[in-house]
Amino acid sequence: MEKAVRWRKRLRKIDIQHLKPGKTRVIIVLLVLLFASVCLSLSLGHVQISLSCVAEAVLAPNKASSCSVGDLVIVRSIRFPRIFVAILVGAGLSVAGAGMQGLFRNPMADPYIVGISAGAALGASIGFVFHLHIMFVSLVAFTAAMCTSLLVYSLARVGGHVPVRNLLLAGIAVGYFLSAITMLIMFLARKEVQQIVFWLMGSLSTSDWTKLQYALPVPALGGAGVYTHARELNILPLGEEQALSLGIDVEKTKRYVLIFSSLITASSVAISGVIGFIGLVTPHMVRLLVGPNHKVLIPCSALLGAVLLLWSDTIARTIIPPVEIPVGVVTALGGGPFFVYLLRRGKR
Amino acid sequence: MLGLDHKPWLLILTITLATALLGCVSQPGDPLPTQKTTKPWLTIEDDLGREIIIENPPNRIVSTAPSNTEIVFAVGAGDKLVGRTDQCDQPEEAKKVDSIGPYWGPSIETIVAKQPDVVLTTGEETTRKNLIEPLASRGITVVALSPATIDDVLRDIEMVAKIVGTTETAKRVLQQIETKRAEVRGRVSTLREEERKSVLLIWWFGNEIWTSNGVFANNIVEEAGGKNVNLGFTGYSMISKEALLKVDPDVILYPDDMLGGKSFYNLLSSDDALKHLSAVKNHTKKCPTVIPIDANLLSRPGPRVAIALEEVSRGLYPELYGKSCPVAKKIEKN
Repeated sequence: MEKAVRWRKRLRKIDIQHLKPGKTRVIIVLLVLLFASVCLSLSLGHVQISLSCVAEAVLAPNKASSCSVGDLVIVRSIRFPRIFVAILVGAGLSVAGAGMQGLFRNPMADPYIVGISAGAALGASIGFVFHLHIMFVSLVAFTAAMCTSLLVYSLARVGGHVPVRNLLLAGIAVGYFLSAITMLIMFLARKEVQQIVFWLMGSLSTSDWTKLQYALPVPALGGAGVYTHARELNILPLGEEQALSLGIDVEKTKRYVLIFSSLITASSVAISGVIGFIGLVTPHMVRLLVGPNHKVLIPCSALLGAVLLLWSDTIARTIIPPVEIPVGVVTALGGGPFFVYLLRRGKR
Repeated sequence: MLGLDHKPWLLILTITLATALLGCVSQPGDPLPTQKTTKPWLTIEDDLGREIIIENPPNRIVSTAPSNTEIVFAVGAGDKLVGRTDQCDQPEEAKKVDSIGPYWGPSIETIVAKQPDVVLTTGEETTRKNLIEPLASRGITVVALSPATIDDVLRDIEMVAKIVGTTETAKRVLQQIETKRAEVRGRVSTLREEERKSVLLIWWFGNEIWTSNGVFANNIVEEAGGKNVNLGFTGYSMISKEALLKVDPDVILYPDDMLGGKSFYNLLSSDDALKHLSAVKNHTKKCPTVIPIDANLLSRPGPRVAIALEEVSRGLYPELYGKSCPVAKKIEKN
């Protein structure tokens, strides 16, 4: 009992600490960085567009301008929505990654750990095979991803408990199983195989305002949901029994964090395909900057994830014009070595 | 790994066994009964530059591409065809011939079982590896047809006719093609250089946009009076929406099966960005500038090449074919 009181005091301290001036500064720097990235990304591309034309396209829609109509269209209808989607997905995956890492108490956890990507891939493959409209492919992928997550949760359940280890193993097993079905579909439906493969590599090229409009609410809700469990996520590393004795409903926390993270991840995958490494690496980077307190970790992860995916996508669409390479390739190429670096650093 | 460290002999044994087994499966020096002294019936060079010796006039032909099947029927050797692919649906009689599997992956076993005298394949790198080499190593005569231009198609028709011994029939076929070709050329030649429209072929529009440059269909466009927009590559490639807006073609051509029969114009005009393309703005029901073309005509370098040529030309310049369409002006783009 005494122990519990001591822990509670310590926790309150962490709560107060999370708005130390140093950490506010990090948030401000990230916000400025994000704004600068957006401006630069708007002007970079296959067609070079001056920053003044970018400003005009964004701020003064009705003014007669010196910039060409084509440039204005490119900025307004192609790059701007795409950049928003990059921010949304980057932030979403990073928050989901932070949530999953906190939940699993495992640095290797990422948003896809419970087989969500495999479920979404299966859903998308089915959508492509039946030649559904891209919107419906996304919808099927989202539904399949959520179903996968719920399936894994119920498989991992033993009595009233969901041991994290079971969750992990069930996720892997279900993931492999669903991937096998996807592969079978790809093998049999050769005509659609290219679409499926490209989708699996992740791309933001179909982003437009309508898509953004439909996609925005789900990850926003999920992100808010994960954030409200920041305190519980801070306590979970102490061990489940310890957390229980501090009056935290561990099972409920697990369930909600899993559901909210899944909502974010499933909607991200549905919008942009499977983009790896952002959700894995960003929380680790942020932990190096601001420490492990989830109240700061989650918003900072969102900001840094947005910046990272925005730059990855800018590289993806500018590096070999007129082709756009899949953004998932860029994040993995950059994120892989960086993750190894983090691991090596941690060993020392 | 640990297990192997303890028992290195096991590893060695496994490797030895595996090597021995592999040796049994593929004996590269398999002698083939090719050293006959009698003079072969015909020696030709196929589109991959391979010297092909054809011993006797073939009676059993297998085609591994729809365009090849069409050629075989056109030169009057359809009755000798004993194998075709699932996609070979032209002419109607072709469907009666047994299938050897889909175009993208025909079954080698089925082909061999047909005991063909000649197999007519295409010439892509994958075909060479997966089809030509395995068949040739079994002693089957393979001729690769890989035409990239209309002239190539004519030459290939002639070559197939030579192989099956129907050069007279082929002459008539070639004559018909040349007549139609000359007619199209005659109409198009009245165009001034600045009246020629820039054309983009879009093969696929979905998560990616696929287009081509320098392939057979582009050659048809060129000869039909259009100018292929230059995107800086040859072959098939993806392009971004931005690049599409930048090149802004006068006309967009697409295979009619691309969207499962749905109108590509409707799709483009509902896209926030692509509705600003000239081809979309100038499009009218009577004089379309986003034009579907029979997918089989566009992608099959076969005897219907002249029909393809006329369809494309008619689409690009309806005014040359007696339709009253305004000679489209490019919308001012500042």
